[in-house]
Amino acid sequence: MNRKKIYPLYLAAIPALVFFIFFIVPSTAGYYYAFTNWSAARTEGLKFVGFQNILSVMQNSKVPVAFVNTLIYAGVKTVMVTLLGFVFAYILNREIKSRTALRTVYFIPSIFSCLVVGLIFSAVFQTRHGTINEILNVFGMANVQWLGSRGTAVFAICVAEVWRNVGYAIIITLAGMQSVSSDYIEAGKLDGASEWQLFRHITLPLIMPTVNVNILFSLIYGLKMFDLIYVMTGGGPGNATESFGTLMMNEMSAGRYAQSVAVNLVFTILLILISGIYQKFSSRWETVQ
Amino acid sequence: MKRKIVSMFVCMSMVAALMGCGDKGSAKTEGGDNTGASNEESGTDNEDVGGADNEEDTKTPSEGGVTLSLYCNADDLAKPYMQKIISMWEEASGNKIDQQGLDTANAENIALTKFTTGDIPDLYVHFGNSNLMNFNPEENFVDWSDAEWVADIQASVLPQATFNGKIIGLPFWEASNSGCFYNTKIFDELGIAIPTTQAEFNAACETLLENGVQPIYLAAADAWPVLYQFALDPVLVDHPDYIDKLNAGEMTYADIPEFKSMCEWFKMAADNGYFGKNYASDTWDYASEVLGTGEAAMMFVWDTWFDTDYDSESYDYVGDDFGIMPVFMGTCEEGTYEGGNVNLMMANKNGANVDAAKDFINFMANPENYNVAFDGVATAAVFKGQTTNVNSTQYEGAKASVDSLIRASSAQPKIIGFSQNEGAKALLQLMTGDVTVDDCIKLIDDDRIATLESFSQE
Repeated sequence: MNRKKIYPLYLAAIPALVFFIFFIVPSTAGYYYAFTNWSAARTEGLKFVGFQNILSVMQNSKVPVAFVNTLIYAGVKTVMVTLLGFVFAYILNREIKSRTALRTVYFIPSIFSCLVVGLIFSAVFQTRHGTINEILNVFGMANVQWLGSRGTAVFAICVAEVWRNVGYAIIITLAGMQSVSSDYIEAGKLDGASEWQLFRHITLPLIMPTVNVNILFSLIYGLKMFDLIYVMTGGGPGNATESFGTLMMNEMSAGRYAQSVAVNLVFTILLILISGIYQKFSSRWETVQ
Repeated sequence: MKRKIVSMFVCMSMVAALMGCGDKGSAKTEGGDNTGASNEESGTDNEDVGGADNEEDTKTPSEGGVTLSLYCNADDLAKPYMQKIISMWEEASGNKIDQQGLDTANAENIALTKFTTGDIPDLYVHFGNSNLMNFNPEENFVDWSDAEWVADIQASVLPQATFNGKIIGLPFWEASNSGCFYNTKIFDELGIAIPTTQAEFNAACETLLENGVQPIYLAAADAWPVLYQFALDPVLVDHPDYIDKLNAGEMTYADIPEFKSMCEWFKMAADNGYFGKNYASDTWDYASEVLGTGEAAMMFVWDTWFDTDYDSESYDYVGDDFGIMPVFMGTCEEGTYEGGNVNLMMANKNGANVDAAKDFINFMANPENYNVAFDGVATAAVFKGQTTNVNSTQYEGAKASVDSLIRASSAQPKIIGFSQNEGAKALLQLMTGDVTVDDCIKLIDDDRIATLESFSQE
């Protein structure tokens, strides 16, 4: 069948136009302000200032910290959420008791708002009277400042974020696993394949498109992390847990609106690059041999 | 059948929800419409309903009236005298104030976002510092320069209510004395004399440490309680030209030797354990507990806090067990106290309820009313006619010292781009060893300069 004859290329112009008008224009028009002198005290009569704000973002000493942290959040979240989602989905896809109840239980954190999750984990990781420290005290161990140093604070934020998102990954992966036809599995069994071989050569390749969706979502939302950090540490101690999201917020709250948009612009370019690179490579994994 | 029942139930729920929304919306709109309509029709209705002297209105609060929106930092809004004056006006005028307490840690950010998106309340409370510039006071707030009550404001307070030569809000706040507060009982037990020099203060900290008492509680995780502006006030008093030079971009913090001394002192204090082990994760919420149990002996704070916030009932040490002494942060040999920073009540001059908002502020400025609101509150007087406030126990106990060493708040209200939070964050990074002293100064300076430049970009 020659698809070109059925769907002439010019027909794509209409959806492309709609996409351009209703998505591209609104989501990018704001970036104009990155090149102006927009500030809290100056909202009218804005002037074009060229790349001044972009340069000031590049020179901002907080940007490297935010950049590294953003990559850590996104990386840890992507790896842990995907792995745990995979493991739990695999378990929940088997014939075990209370399977339905467990699926619900694992999904519940996903419906909590970030604010709630942030407050819960702030209480868990607090130095004074925090849940974990209270447990440590029972065993005669001293308090740990979980949110008081960069390493532990980033760890605490990652734990909270993974906890909140793993349920969603489980559901997506589980849906993928359930769509794998039992015919393939049975055929594999007839050929004498072991449990591992069935998983490695049948289940895994067939659910890779679903896993890829999980990875991509985790990556993008990991890069965009803001609210949980804001609630748990506010970017602190100092600027140690700052991400691009909190950096934007800080610029905005200081009344430096144009600089905030400039941070956003730099961040968006980074986001597009990473997503593009990932999609380019991930398409290879989806090939079923 | 089952599907039909479910569908019917869903439909009924949707209808009920829509009706509920409609009701709620219309109820709210009704109130708003009434107000709005009356404004549009007569233009003086607000004045009528808002007038404190209007007997008819004061007698009929149940008949409704104008509802003014008020944005304020939640903690500030909860102050007893604020709640008192609001309820007094509501009772007298029959109007209402929709109090929207903004999350304390992010109040300014939230308010700024709301202002920028055009969501400007009828009344707004903000400290009279340089950050107020972000809110376009001249465009947004009523100019009170000709108001009668301006003559009743203490001369020391009036500059904080002034923006570009105009009085842009009523300073209705506690004029507290800030300093270093110490547990008198612990000091007595350990035989520690009140320090009068930086060296003596450091020695006092060492003595406390030797006796297993954390010298200072510093809630550095919240950033703002580091209060490093206390260290800068005496420097700016001695060198008033610094402010102009900093604001003109002709000078940086790195050019101020005392700024470096302050950073070095914070680093030394943290390294020596003056702030305990947990300062990087300590928050303001635990201030009462840590001071009250005697875990820490000192804290940088203001005297009214012991009257309005300190929890005297739950712990061993009550508010009166604390005394005030000068702050020693490495910049001033004899130490310093900081004078009051006041919050301003401002009225939206472009709002639909501007007359009622003005009426509320005039009501607050009435000596009869503010004396009721501040009755028994431990604060210095903001108004010349203020007679019912009392001096704090701490101030009474160290009156001579406070009076001789107190400096007006300068860094915060006068340095454009001064950020209590960002500065404290950089100092925390210094204390934890993440940055050097020079890097810390650069971090604080970069943030200030970025704000300064955002104002000056042409």
